[in-house]
Amino acid sequence: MRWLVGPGDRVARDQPIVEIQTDKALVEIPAPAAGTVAKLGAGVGAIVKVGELLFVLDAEGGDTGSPASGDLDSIEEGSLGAADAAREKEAARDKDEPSVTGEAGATERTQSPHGILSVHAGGRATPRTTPRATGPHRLRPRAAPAVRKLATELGIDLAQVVGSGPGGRVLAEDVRQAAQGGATQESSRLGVVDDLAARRERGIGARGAGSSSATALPTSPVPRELGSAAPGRIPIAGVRRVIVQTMTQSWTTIPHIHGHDELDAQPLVDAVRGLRRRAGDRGSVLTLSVFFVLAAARALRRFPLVNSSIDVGAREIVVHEEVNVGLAVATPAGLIVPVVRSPDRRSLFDLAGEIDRLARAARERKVKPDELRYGTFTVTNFGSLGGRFANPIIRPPEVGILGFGAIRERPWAMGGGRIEVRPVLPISFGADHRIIDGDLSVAFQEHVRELLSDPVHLLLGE
Amino acid sequence: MVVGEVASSTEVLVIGGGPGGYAAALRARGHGKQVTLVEADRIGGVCLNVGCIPSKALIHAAEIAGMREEAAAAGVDLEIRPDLRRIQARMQDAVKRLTGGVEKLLDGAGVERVKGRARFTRENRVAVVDGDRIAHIEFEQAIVATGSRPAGLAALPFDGKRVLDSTGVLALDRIPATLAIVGGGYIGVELGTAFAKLGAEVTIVEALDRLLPLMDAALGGVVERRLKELGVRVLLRARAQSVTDGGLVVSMERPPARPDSPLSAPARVGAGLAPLADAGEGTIELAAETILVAIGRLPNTDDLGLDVPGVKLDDARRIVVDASRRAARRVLAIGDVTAGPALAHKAIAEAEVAAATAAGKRASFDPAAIPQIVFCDPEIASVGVTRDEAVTAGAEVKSFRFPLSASGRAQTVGPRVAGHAEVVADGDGVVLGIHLAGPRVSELAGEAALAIEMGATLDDLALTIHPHPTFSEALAESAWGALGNPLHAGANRASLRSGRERPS
Repeated sequence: MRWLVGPGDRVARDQPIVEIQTDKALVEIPAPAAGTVAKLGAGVGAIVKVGELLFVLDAEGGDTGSPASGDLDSIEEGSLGAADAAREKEAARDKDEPSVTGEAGATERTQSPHGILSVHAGGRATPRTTPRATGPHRLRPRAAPAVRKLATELGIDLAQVVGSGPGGRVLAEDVRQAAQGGATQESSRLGVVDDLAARRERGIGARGAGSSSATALPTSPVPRELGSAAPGRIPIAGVRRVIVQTMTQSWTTIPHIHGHDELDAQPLVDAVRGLRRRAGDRGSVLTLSVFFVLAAARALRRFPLVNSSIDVGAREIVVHEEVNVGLAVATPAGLIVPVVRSPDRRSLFDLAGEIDRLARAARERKVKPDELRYGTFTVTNFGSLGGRFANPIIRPPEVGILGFGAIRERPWAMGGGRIEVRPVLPISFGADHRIIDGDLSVAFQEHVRELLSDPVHLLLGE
Repeated sequence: MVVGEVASSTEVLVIGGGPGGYAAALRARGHGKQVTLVEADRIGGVCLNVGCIPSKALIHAAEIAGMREEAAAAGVDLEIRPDLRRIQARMQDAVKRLTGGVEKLLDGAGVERVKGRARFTRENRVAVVDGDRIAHIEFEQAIVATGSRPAGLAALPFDGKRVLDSTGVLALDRIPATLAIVGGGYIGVELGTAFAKLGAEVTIVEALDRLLPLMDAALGGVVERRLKELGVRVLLRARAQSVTDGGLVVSMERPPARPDSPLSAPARVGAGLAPLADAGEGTIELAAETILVAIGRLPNTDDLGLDVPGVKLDDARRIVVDASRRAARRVLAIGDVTAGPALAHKAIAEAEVAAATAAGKRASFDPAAIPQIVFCDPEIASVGVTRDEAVTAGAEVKSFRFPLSASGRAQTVGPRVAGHAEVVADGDGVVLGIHLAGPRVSELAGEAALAIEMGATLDDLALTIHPHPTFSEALAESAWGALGNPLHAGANRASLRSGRERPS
């Protein structure tokens, strides 16, 4: 952390007070109101735990008894710039965490008489002094127990759902809509292992193997809020700030080459369906993404040079021993890439469970800093939203990224001059051309294609 | 006998057959799982065998025994002669019917029952010890529901004769002439009220400055006044020191600076009670044929072999779980072995969640409120946040306390019915808490909990037609009051304290 002001400084509302570095994000916390900085909570470079005091601000216009209530009300409701962004990326509430976890520490303000505001790291807007009163009650989404149960079952965070019932109550219909990609649910946007894809695949399983339409994988409807924004200026902070830095660095320093291909996904779709049926309840975590990650890992073992980084300063290529595959998971705050360690060294269900857990943690902003590190390659399943091919951008210092489009029924040449309608999976491979020549790029992509065309081969690892 | 390491296997293993455990077992069966339930003692646990159920049977008998004055006021003269042996027989009958019923449910559902104490020996295996027999059971998921036991005091160790826990007191077959109760929480207050009505001379010794210290202060006040009417001596800021021959030595904290404070009196003597013997050094000695220690409960987690990978205990040695009740990959936990109030209905609600989680479904324990009831006189029901808690939290608070004396139904019972209904809402009128003292208000707690769970507003509560003449009208009356528009009561102190406020 780095202080941008000192004790005694007068600050304007929204003026940045402190910069906090989390694992993924550098977040500026602005002043919640105009006033004088009374106290700074920690030194430069200190690790501030969730819930600890950040700073105390002596707000202007406060008088005893009614502490700047007008101002405070507007603070509660009004825009807080970066702090809003920070709050969105609310850190894990677990106070045992060694540092601000997840994307960035949310701020929490405690209001006290005389217009003094103290701002704390992390947590919901629960004042320190109240272990239970406000937290679970005031901020609890207004939803009946049955609706909360439905939300849990569908993996929907109620806090992200806009209620359409009286007084803003969240109704069962709101939750179902959110689950189908409406409202603010992020899972359908780009999720690698989103619940939606899981449900779609379950639906296919239910229709039975014999059905000819059993292969179609419809894409999810576009979320209502995707791309929506009010005219004005939006601060680039938090996850978005990291994305801006990473993508700029990637696009300006890495000469990308991209290759595209398609494969007949009928065996893969059949395999997923069969495994799910066999696994019963446990099968819900078996998403297509599990197979994509596994295929990437196997191909990386076959071509270790793709599992590397460039150390420009040392003029060396660093070939990694571990194969760790990152998964792009869309969240309301932006794209987050939790990392699956050694996917090919795990059992299928272990891997599927881990991917499910990581994706959920990412969406709930509970992913731990360590779970965002040590990636050596990235997989993105942009096809869960639709689309066929894309040119995915590499996440430095990695040198490759594999993207998967939507499985759709297309005419497919079966050999012998026969054409059938088959589910077709498009794949797109992006490679750092400084290290990966065209022949390796094509060979890698071809290997992935073969693995996914023959799931038995993929699962056996041979 | 050669036992070896041959293990039987089950899909879901439930350890503990109390309300949480048996509910989890039944629900896991409902999810289609093969279920084994291990219980060391009797199905039904503390609640059914030595807790809620027998104590309520005793309290019911005591209520009848304590009705002479009320009956006389209503125009009926009663002659009352309580016989604890017959009361005991009735208590045991109720217990037997209920535990027998639960056993039938378990057997009918196809839950395999194993007697013994389970101890984890591997991540997926327990050893169940019953006498000299050991059985090994392998499981996919285990639900720990071993409950809690009464906490004791080092200075007053349980001896099974004079110094008893609640189980021991509920098993008495003779009413003690003098009963000292250490601990003014709900168990002490409930049993103290009951034994006072049955004719014992009761003293309650509480270390803090009020009875029911974990509940809204106004509720404790109602109870304290009634206990004094019943002749119960209530010693606050007092600590039990030692047992003497026929007595109990109690040290009294020096009275605080304001002698006029109602909570500051060093010793309050109930009507008709003998003054206390001064034992010197700020201590007094009270006559105590029997001593009940009811200062809290301890989780039964010590003998489970819980060094299973991933299982963590908190400072109070309770098992740490997430909202799905999961403690580790194969271990879930519910009820008193986890954080939260040690209440059967909490354990049962958690059992629903744990069983679903164990069956691979998504579930989450996420209640808006866990009702708390005290079966004393009058009954106490507290659901959700108190006004003090809401105010301390900095919330804008609307609240109103409706006195039962203004209730038509209460007037039909007697001219001086004690109690009130208080509703606490946030600035938007969303109901956060409902706190009740009065006859049979335990039966109103369900409505209070429903209102809070559904996110009801004061308008919802006020506009719901409550039947006349019933005590339930008090809920609507208090909601009208909090809306600033009381019907059968004037604006009261509680309502005046609404609005955005902060504790000084």
